[in-house]
Amino acid sequence: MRFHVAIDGETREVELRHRGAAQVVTLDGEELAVDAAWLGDRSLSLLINGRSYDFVVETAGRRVTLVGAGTRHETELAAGAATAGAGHRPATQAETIVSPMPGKVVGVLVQPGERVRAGQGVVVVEAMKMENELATRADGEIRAVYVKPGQVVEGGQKLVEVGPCSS
Amino acid sequence: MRLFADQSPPFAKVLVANRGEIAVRVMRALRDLGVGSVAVYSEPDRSSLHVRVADEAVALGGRAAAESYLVVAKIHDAAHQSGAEAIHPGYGFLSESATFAQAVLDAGLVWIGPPPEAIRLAGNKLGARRVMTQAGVAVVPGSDLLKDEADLAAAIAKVGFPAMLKAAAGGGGKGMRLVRDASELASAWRSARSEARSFFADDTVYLERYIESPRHIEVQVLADAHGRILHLGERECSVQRRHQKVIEEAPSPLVDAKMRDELGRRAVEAARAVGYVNAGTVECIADASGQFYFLEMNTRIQVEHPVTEMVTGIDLVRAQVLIAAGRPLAIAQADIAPRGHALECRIYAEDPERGYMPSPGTITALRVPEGPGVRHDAGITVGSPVPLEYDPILAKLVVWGADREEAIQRMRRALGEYRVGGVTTNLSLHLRVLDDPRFLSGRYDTGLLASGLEPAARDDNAKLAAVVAAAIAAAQKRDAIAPASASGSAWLAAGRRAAMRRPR
Repeated sequence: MRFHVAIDGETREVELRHRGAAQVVTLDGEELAVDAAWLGDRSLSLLINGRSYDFVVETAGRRVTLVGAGTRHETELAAGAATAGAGHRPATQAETIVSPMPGKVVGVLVQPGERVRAGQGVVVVEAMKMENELATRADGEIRAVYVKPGQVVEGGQKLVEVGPCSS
Repeated sequence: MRLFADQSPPFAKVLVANRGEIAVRVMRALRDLGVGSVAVYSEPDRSSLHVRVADEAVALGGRAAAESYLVVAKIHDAAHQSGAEAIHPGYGFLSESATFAQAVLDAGLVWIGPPPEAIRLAGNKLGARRVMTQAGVAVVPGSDLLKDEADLAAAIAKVGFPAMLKAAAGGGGKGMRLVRDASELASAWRSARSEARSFFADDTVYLERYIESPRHIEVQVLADAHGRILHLGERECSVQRRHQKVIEEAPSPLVDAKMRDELGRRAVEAARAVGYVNAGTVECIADASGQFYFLEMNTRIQVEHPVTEMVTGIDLVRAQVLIAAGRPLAIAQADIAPRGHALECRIYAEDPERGYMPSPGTITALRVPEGPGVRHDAGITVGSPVPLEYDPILAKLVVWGADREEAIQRMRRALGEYRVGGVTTNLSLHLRVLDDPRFLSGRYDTGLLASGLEPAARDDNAKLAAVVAAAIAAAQKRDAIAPASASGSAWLAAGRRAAMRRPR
């Protein structure tokens, strides 16, 4: 089986095969001696060329997060053909800002029609006693504001729509 | 060294009016003493660890703290219903409410904490400043209460810029305004007073010299109901983010034996001045020249109490319970000598790589560090909820070493063993602090985190291993969804076996 794994904006190719009783892994054409053991359904012990790695594996759709020794790597798998790096969004496209977690809206910092710069805070959501300012990723104009201060929001709920500047 | 002559169980049952790691910590001390424990819990906390560790549990109902852990009448009913004889408040929530402490006493129960009057005295910042000054304890140079802008001008002439306007009844950073020059004075005066009025229903403010990026050092005291007050040395708490402590250590790298004696003596005087009984903390700040000033007294057990326990061998929560039962301390100041060095890392459910975004959820996997010198005080296990309603602290990782260097090395090792699945944690931040040259030298202040840390050392091997792991996880998942499409690959067989071990 062949996988294309996006990590830190680059894509690596991993092939999993077996040769007799042995398991063979090829990473970008380089063969690695890998021994893998699952402990429960989330802990994965890997021996790669004799070095030991111990990961907690979290899977959400095609995204796989690997929690290691003080590290956290987020990857995205593409089935079949190689894909380009994940997540690049041109500033000319509409952007929907969603709440990354359940919480309460404690501030709305923009109004429809207002021009915003990339990285500008638009909505403040409070969760776990902390206020979190959510920002735009690109320059643009606020098309719609879906929430009001005091409103309780779910994780993934739409907060603000940003589009390209109208003029 | 026996801290109390009589260590028999002082109560049959104690109610713990808290949640998370501190509730579990208190229940462990109770069980060590042979005392039963009663948990209280909100709706999101039904499956939390403190409910499972307790002998009994009473539902409070409600989700937010204001509907559950902060409702005095509900805690009361729970104590009555369970037949508990005493209440331990932990930290946060109602722990520093003199009103709650008084209500507990009025109900004929034992309050495991200081007398309400001591909480009241220590809780009013201006009142505490007066009491400390009378007791000969140095406070940050400042004014008494300011009646009008003429008072303010006179105070500024004495204190100088930069200065901080503070609400006398303040706390949590509310009613505080930094004044850097004369142009900011009028607006700071207005806004500090109006904020103080709306948060504390009391617009009394005073002025203090502003000490930029001080060190934050605090002294643990232990006072019994018979007039004996001991100090247990200091803790350094200068690794902070927005006034939230992140890493603490004992002893402080700044404090030598002579300073420790001096600080300790002052802390004991401060505790005596407010009529203190039980465990308490005298918080100080030190400026760049090493001059110490009294900041405030915390009238509860502190989050970071384990570092003191590790170097003194004294169980502070056990001591709290026995002191509340009226038992006299059986040791003298000379019996207390800190040994070695301890560090604590607070493990929070937040993402340091994304602006410390909170990460509520459910703990899906947990591997806890173990081995020599390691202590883990947690409020979680696999399956525990991490509700968004409360503080994001998951656990405290504490290590002891013969000296600071060994303790740091052990903490690095322990952090490397630690794995949490289901929520994002700040483990990577701790490792970066432990590699920072300023932290390693021991010469750091509360500006450490704000000034930025070096990025984490890149480990390309770990990254490639993560890529391989992601592919293996995908193969396993694919197999679990459509096993019929599989060939006889050993990879797939391993995936199937793992899938079959899933619960349910």
